[in-house]
Amino acid sequence: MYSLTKTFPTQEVGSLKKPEWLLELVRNKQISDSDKSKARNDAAYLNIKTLEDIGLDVLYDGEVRRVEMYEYPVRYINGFEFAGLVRSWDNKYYKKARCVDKVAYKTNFHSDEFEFVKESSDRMLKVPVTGPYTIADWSYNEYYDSKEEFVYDLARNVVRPLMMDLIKQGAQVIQIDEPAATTHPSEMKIFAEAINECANGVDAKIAVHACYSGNDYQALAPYAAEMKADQFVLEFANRDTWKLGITDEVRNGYSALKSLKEHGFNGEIGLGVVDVHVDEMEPPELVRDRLLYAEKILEEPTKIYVNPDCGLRTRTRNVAFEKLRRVVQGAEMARNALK
Amino acid sequence: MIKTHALGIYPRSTGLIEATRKNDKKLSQLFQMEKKKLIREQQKSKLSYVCDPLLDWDDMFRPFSNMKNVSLGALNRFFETNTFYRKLVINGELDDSSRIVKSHLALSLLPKNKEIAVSMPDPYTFADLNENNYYKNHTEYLFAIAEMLKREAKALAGAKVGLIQLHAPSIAYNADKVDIGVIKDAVERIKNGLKTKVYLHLYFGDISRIFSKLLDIKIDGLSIDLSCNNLNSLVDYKVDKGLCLGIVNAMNTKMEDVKATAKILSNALDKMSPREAYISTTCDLQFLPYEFAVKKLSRLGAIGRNVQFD
Repeated sequence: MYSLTKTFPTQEVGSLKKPEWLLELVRNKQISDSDKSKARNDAAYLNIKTLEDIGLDVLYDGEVRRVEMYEYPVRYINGFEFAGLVRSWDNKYYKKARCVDKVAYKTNFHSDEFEFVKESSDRMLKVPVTGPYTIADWSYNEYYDSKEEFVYDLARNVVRPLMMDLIKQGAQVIQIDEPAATTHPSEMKIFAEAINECANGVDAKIAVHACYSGNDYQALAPYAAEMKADQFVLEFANRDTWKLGITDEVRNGYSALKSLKEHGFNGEIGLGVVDVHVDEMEPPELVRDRLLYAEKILEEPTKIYVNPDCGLRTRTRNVAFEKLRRVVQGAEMARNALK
Repeated sequence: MIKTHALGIYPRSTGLIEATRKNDKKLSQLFQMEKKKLIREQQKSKLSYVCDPLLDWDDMFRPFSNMKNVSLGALNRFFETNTFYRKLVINGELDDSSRIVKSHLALSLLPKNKEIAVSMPDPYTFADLNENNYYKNHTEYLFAIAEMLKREAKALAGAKVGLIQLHAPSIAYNADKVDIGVIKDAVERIKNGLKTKVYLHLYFGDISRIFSKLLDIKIDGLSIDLSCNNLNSLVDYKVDKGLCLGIVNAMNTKMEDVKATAKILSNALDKMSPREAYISTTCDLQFLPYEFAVKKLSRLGAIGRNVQFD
């Protein structure tokens, strides 16, 4: 469903750093809401056209309108109240909310954003939405008796209705972002069931993004085949060596592919081929070898999508765009190598 | 009534976060002022021990990065939280004599008429969460850390610190895998010859299956995270040392019911009859926003005043 026929299609994962001019403008209290909205449109258009120029096959707008992947959706869900700032690391803090009532969907909070992207690009679009497990895990639960109930209610009553509305609007590919999923290996069943609840009856291609698994996706692998996910978009490059080659030894960061296959998962993989936490540029040859190694394991290059490990918002825009160019160049080299 | 304390890293206020972001010229003064405020909050809550709220510690290991032969490494997730710490990389012998913990505490801000408590990592957690590039094997590495922490503990004892709590999340989190014999040896090295009370604070995991072995460690007491442990699985043990029950949940904003909680704790302590008893937060308050951390301090004090323990 909604798959590309080419080998190694390229895509982004989600967020890009917002341009400085946009941040200054939206923080300025003298600027009207209408002008801020126009500025956000300009920034979104700039991202979309840059991603098109780079040559990505599947794209979105760099999440330029979203303040952050957790805080943005929580603002629009009934049942939450923001509690305050909690440390992420050092002096980096994020706004954390308390769930104080039964959660409920209010409105399609990605509607305007999706409409604009749809009008701005003819490429395949992939709409990122924050997943129920991550929203629950990053919140304080004061209302539900158990985390399971909290997660399932978010899946059933918030994320699924949001996805349905996006599909009515024309969305064909939705990426459920679940960075918290692999944080608690013992709760993988809750995560898997929540994804199935989100995808229940949903007529779209479902990609699930997880990253920075502490146990090399060993907890995820046994559940992957049973989950209603057409594609898993995963981080691998961060744990891999920078040596060229397609042996198990140099491509040790990609060992989870074998595990996913052994557990019967035969869907698509969004293969993280560049590390989003370093400025060093992966040579396209390294991207190529990572892809050829994945192809050696999975044997179906049309099912291997090529992307960065995660959203590139932690890198400067120049670095992010250059990394995406390497993604596209490496994919082309891998295609040629298979000819 | 029972003794109370809330040790570890406290959250920064919004003002302090902003000032730190802007690298405000008066930042060090601001940190001192904010520390004073939180020490006052501890006193207002009538906690038995007071502590430095460690607002200037970015994580529980960061001060140790100032030691010789130690450098800062990559960011790593702190257990299953959404908070990250920077891994230390040990490149040479841990022979520092600068008394890192003491020099990173604002002891002068603490009231003279109150007992002082200090937290620092336990040797097993220190070894587990950081990277050894120098010691030949894990036991040698662990014992080198224990000796280094013993020097730290001695310096704290000299500064009239009455209670040292060794924060040991790695032991609790890995309870099924840890070698208690080696941990016992390492932790006892710190306590050996020290008059100051030493407690091992076990949080982020269920320790019920290793509780009897932990009770054999010759230190003054154990501290347990009750958000991860069912009290019913522990109450049948006779505890011949001190016991601290971490009851006020520092991972959730929901406020504990004072009367009901105090009653449960009173009954448990009556059965376990430890030599002495405390109650505390389950872990560092830094996992809560500032305003909720302050409310939790007050709740801890109130529960403490309602617990019956002779």
